[in-house]
Amino acid sequence: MLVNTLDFWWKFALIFLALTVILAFCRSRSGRVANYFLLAVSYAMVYFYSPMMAIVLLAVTLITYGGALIVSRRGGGKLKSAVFVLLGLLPLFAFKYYNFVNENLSAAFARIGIDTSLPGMNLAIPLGISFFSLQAIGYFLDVSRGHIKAERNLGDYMLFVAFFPQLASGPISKASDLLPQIKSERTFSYEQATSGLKWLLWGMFLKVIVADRISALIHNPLHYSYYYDEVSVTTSVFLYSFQIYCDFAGYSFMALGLGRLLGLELINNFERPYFAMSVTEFWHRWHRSLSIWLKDHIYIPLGGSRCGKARNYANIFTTFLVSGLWHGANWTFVLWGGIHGGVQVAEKRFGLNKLQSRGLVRALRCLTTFAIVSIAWVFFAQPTAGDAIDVLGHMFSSEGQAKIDLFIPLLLVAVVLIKDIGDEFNIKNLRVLHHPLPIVRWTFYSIIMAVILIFAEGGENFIYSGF
Amino acid sequence: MKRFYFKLLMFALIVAAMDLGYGIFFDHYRRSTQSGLTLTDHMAAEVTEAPVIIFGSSRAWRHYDSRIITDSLGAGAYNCGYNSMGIDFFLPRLRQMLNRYTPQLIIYDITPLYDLMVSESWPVTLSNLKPHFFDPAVYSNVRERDYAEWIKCHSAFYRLNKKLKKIYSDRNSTQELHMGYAPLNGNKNTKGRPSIKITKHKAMTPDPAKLAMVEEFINICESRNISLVFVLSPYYKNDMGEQDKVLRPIADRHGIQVIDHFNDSTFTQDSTLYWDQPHLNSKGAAMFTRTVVSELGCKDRIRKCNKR
Repeated sequence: MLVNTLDFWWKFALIFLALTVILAFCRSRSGRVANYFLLAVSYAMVYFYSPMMAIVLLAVTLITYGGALIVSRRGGGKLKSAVFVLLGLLPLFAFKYYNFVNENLSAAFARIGIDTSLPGMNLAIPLGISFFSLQAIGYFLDVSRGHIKAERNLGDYMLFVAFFPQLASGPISKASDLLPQIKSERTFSYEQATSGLKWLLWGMFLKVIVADRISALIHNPLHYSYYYDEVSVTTSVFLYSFQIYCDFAGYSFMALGLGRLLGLELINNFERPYFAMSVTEFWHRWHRSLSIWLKDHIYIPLGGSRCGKARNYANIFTTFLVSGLWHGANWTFVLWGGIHGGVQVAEKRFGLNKLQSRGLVRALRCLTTFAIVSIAWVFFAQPTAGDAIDVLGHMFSSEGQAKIDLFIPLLLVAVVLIKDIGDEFNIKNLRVLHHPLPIVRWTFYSIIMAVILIFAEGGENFIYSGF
Repeated sequence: MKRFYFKLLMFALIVAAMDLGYGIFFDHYRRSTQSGLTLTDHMAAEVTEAPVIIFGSSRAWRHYDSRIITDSLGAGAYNCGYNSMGIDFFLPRLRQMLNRYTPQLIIYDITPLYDLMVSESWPVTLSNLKPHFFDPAVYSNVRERDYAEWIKCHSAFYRLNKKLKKIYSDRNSTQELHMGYAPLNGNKNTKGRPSIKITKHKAMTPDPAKLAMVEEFINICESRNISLVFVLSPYYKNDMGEQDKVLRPIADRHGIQVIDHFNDSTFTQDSTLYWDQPHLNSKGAAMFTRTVVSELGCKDRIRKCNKR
């Protein structure tokens, strides 16, 4: 299931080969046969990774599939929809939030002398449960609001929820984007496949070279910050921003690439988020599929911006608290969401969210946004708010003497920034993977491949696969 | 589709060519390294023909001063100790050596965790055997133990993944080496001051697969007329109790000498002899090496052989 392992790659090579054979020999029914094949492969992968995950995935799929058919046929009362949403989210709540709610409620009641504690649940959270649950619930809500028609073909719907490249860490696809592709006939597209390979290569480089290398280097300064001097702690805080970007974007780009190789176009989750001029813009570039989901299913139903200012600000803030809680059952995530929500409310209040700038002003705004986002990541990365505050404190004053070697991580960050600058400003000579001269492109493909094969640690988990 | 597969094949050929080139470059880079564990490993696997050989984990590498052994026995000694390695590493290493020459004496420093007990040692062992993959002894060993890994190891990129950094740091290492022996001076600094951190150990269970390898190791030595001595070297403030219960019956069955200082209070209570809890420093190593040499049952035979 983890796309950065050799084990996955040889399996994927066989899957791809089989798919191209299907597309070549089942011309008239290629889409249907390919769908059944991809569905079988997706469930086999999930099952062999964790049978429990396969059961949960199937349960969420069947609840939302059946629920959507029922509300579309018999009319969807709010109560009926709420029941199906709750049923669909039940596994997510049970696995992810039960202990959190139990512990916090018990602690709250204990203060007034009432013992309400229930036994804790010690079960591993199924991989990607937050992603496929949201995708399935998003589909159900779209149907119940009449935005799309209910899908009748169970096989197609099962593939929509279980399509393996997006299962572990998203993107959270919209039914209106992915289901029509699944239902259409497919032929092999050279352009789509080569572009898929480029995304795969770049995503793999971001994950196994940049993210894993930075992770190894900054782990100690972020977890034992009292041993390190201020420069090392501060640099580690900013490097963590690149680690999480390269880790999550790396996975998302690989998922995008795998999807294209298999003939399906997934949403691009990342558009150079650290070039954002405001936190509001950051969320249009970072984990875009989650932002869209939250906008469609939390922010707009709360009233969105079509209400008074105070209510609008409250809606933004609430949406980001939910976003924080979605990332994990811990108050640090809620704080992280609160920081993002609070800053966006401030930006809206002062009109910074829509203000466009150029040149030096743009650069300064990008740096300010990057600094805010980086500080918020400290809460995201630390186990408790107290630890986060300690790390932030050690950025300014630390008695530690230890230092970290910055050459390799800064070199890697420079490579990522050069590539992103090329894409952001469409500078042809910096867009080496899309360079017009084949010799330049192929040289870079080969260099990236060699660097991955020589230096990759391999098998490191993705940060977001734990959510 | 044909165009796509053609280009994919072209790319695969480029990667295969790079793989081949990397393998050649890496072997040259590894063999030309003149310091650190890389040098010890290269010498042990491909060069040394010393009559006396020391095998074992980092405790062997740090505990046996080859110079003292050479002077005392009148026979050249080479310390082939390797960090975190146990019997599953030293069995193929012995076979590598035997393809080249037959040593007279092997002093095998036993670390129970790596040589006798259950531990997840194979991935690390394999990683350290990989640079010598095409040596017939290693090649057949990997094929027998892990067929999937054996297939993957034909790629230099896979085989030598992560090794370049290790060799680069070894090339810049200022570590003293004396015929393989790597002394440690003073005490390890913990939290900015010299002190020895004491770790509590969990109970361990014997690993039948490792014990079978120990038997095989002994059988090879017997068949090639190599004197073999097992040593349990000291451990600071040892809380692991007696560890020779597993080893002793095998050794007794074959008439192999076991020199046991695992709980010897001459060593285990004196912090000035240690760099950290499992490793003696250079002062402790010199003292310990002399003790072991004086207790060697076969020392007269080795001296006699090498006088001639």
